[in-house]
Amino acid sequence: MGDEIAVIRCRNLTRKFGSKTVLNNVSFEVSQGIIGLLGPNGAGKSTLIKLILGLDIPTSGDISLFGKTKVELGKIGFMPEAKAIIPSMKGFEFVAFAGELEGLKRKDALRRSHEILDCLSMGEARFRKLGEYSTGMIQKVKLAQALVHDPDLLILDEPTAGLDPPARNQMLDYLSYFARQQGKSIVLSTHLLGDVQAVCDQVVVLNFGVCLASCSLEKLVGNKADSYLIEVAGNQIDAIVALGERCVGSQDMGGFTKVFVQCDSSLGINNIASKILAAGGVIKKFVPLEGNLDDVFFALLDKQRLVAN
Amino acid sequence: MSVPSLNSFLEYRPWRGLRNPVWMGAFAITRESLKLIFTRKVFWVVFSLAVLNFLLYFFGQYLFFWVADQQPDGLVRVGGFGRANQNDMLQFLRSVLKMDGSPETFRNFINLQSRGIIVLLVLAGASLLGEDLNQGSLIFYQSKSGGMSNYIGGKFLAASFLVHLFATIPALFLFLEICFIDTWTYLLYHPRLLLGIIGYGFVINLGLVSLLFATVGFFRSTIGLIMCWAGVFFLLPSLCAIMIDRLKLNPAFRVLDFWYCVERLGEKCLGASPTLHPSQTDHSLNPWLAAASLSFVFMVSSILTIRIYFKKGVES
Amino acid sequence: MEFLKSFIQGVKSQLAVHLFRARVGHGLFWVSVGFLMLVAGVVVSVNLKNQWNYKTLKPRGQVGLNFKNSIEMIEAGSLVLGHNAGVSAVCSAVASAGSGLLVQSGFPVFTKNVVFSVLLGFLLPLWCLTFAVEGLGAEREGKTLFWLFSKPVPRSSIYIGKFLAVLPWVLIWSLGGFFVLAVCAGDCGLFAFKLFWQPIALASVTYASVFFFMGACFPRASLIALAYAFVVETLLGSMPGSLKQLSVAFYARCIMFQKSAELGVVLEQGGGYGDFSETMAICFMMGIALLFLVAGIFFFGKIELRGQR
Repeated sequence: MGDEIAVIRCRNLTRKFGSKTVLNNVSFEVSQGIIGLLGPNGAGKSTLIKLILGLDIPTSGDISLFGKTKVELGKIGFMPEAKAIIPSMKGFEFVAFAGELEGLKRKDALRRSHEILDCLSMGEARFRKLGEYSTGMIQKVKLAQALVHDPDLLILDEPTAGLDPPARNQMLDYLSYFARQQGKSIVLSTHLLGDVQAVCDQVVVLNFGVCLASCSLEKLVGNKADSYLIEVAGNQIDAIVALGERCVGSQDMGGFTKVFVQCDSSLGINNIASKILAAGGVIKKFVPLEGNLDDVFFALLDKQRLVAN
Repeated sequence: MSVPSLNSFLEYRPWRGLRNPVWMGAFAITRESLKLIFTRKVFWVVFSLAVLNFLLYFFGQYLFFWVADQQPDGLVRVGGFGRANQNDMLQFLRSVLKMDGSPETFRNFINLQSRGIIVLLVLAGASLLGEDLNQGSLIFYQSKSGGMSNYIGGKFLAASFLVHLFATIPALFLFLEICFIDTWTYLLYHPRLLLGIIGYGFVINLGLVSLLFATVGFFRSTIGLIMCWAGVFFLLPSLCAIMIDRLKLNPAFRVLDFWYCVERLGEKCLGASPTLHPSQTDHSLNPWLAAASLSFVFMVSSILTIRIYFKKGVES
Repeated sequence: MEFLKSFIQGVKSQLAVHLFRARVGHGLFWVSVGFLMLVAGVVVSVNLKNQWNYKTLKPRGQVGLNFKNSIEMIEAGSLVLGHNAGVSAVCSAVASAGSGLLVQSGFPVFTKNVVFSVLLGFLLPLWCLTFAVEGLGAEREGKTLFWLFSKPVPRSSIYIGKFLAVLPWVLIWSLGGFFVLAVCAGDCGLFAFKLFWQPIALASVTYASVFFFMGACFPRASLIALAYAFVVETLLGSMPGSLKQLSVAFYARCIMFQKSAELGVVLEQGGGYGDFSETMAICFMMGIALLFLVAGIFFFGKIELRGQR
């Protein structure tokens, strides 16, 4: 990760609306690939996207894209969550219009528009008015208008919202095609864990404006052998606090707590066990973790709640 | 339905062509907004009324100069309807219809045409601007390189084009018509008129379009727009009429009447004499006050527009 | 009996929900406030200049002397003709009577210029429209009618309940607005308010009924209501001839005309306002209100929710 230039780097990003803090000291760094921006509704995803696009100004902290602090919108393609279409325009006209707004010449914009709609297999539907489109086609056109000027970074806000399963799979296929074969970086904002697990390389988890995790999907989900699920009873909170950074997440099960732990060579299994015992915890179960994103995600949210209490 | 495999895609091609300067995007916005307006029925209704009015003035002028050119034997053949007194006709065209190529001709013509513009903007203005605010498509423009300045610029150009299409351009045609019918010395004797037509066009343009931006941005619906403009173009003039014409208050109160100020400035641009009701003394407003009123409206509207459209960080 | 029970239940529930939460279209309320403030400002400034009287008005049309000049001339005449005691006495008596009339002339001038034209012809319809159209119009636009219809109460009760909930708002706003204008005008205004509050209240109830009917039964009701307000009430209402008998404002004007005629003030010559007696005008207005209420209940009961979700 460290050797290539970071696509997005946020440092101590804070955004307040009056007394309400929407983003609180968010720092992360992501590199090329598909980046899942994950969080429940109201977690601050949309605000973060607006900050990345330069449509909003952070209260403090800074963002750099491709190592530059000044946002170049021409290098970014954005697919908004809102319908954001002009119903009276035809599909290909709309995409070409988006291209023209990015500075393409009209001729180029039209050619590009047809190319991309071909690529997204839109067929004859492109000659119909946007007002008559189904949700799936609207999402495709929105993706096309983000791609028309060949951006390096695609920011997609809920691209799979309202799609039926085949259309959703198709959309995810497109995303991985553009990231893996065309070398684009894609930020995929969603609250659907399945989408993230299907295509993302890296994950940034947000909740209540706090960045709970930012790492590769593999590391988070813990397919590697050094992640463990420990069920702790007894003095649970002290035990979790004693684990500190090692504890990736926890889930209160009533009576005992599921704790997700990340080990590395410096801190072995024995070490972790002794820490829990020293804090007054009782270990009920200690197994290597092969969980899915759901477990980890809920664990992350639960840990935040626990720490806050 | 089967899930398409990656092989079914046509290959995506990267594109690194030459790009226009970013501000050129504004013209694309103008073009698309005008296309949108041209698909509206209300545009064609208002436009045909405006064309009728133009034709009335066009042939009225023609008639005036034709009658003036006839042998001064006092009688002119009017089609199959017999003969009419030449002086009567000239008098009618000159003082009643004011179709004699004087500044008043152009003032009356542009005033009438601008009524049409008001109706058009009030009915179609919301679809020009408001629907973007309502349907959340503003973010589409915001996320493009030109951002909101392109959007505002493009929409401003589109609305201005409509204003000039209805008022300035036909007025210039009328001017040209007189140059052709009369002599080109008309141009030499009335250079101010030519500049005045253009000047009046721009006064209407600035006033109406800035008002449109602010009101649409604030109300975001045709209803609010109609109500607000009814206040500006109907309530204010009638209040001013009560205050000044009936209760004889200071004529300076007319600064409240935005549209009167615009017309007064236009009058000054063209060098036309103010319209007076019979037996009324000159109660017209000092043009500087009119200009001050107009620039006040322009400034407030611009500030509102900037605050509404360039607002950063709206919670969604 | 069963029907009556559920009917009362429906009216009650609508009243409970909507009586204290008036629904007003976006920004429309502020336009109404703006109009009130504007007219109030004008009334105040005329009042400050002490112009709510016949001082500057001319007896016949626009030509010749105004009232003040005439009285001054008659006074001057009494001085000039001082040698003839009889003529002089008559002149000064006429002059003083004239001056007394001038002081009392605020009421007709205010009524004619503000109440008769601006308030009845423009402000009142718009104010009533602001509150009444949204009553059921908002439910239509917001597509919540379906939910409302799923309740086990008759539709007529929903209609009446909402109407009753809207009514106080309309009345408070229109009478309040009239009162504000009256206070701004001073004594003559308060006199006009005392005399005319009933026709204004009746007119607002009638408007409310008409606009509520539109809101309930037409799509895009606000536009239709606005068109009605401008075309019928403002334009037709101020036209000469009998066409204005189509407008609600006409009947309110009739009542006001009769009321002031009893005091010996003729508000408008030849407007045809004398043709309808006060009772007849009241009956007409109540008839219109009832007609639209019944029609509204009838059509509201027949609405088919097509394409509504």
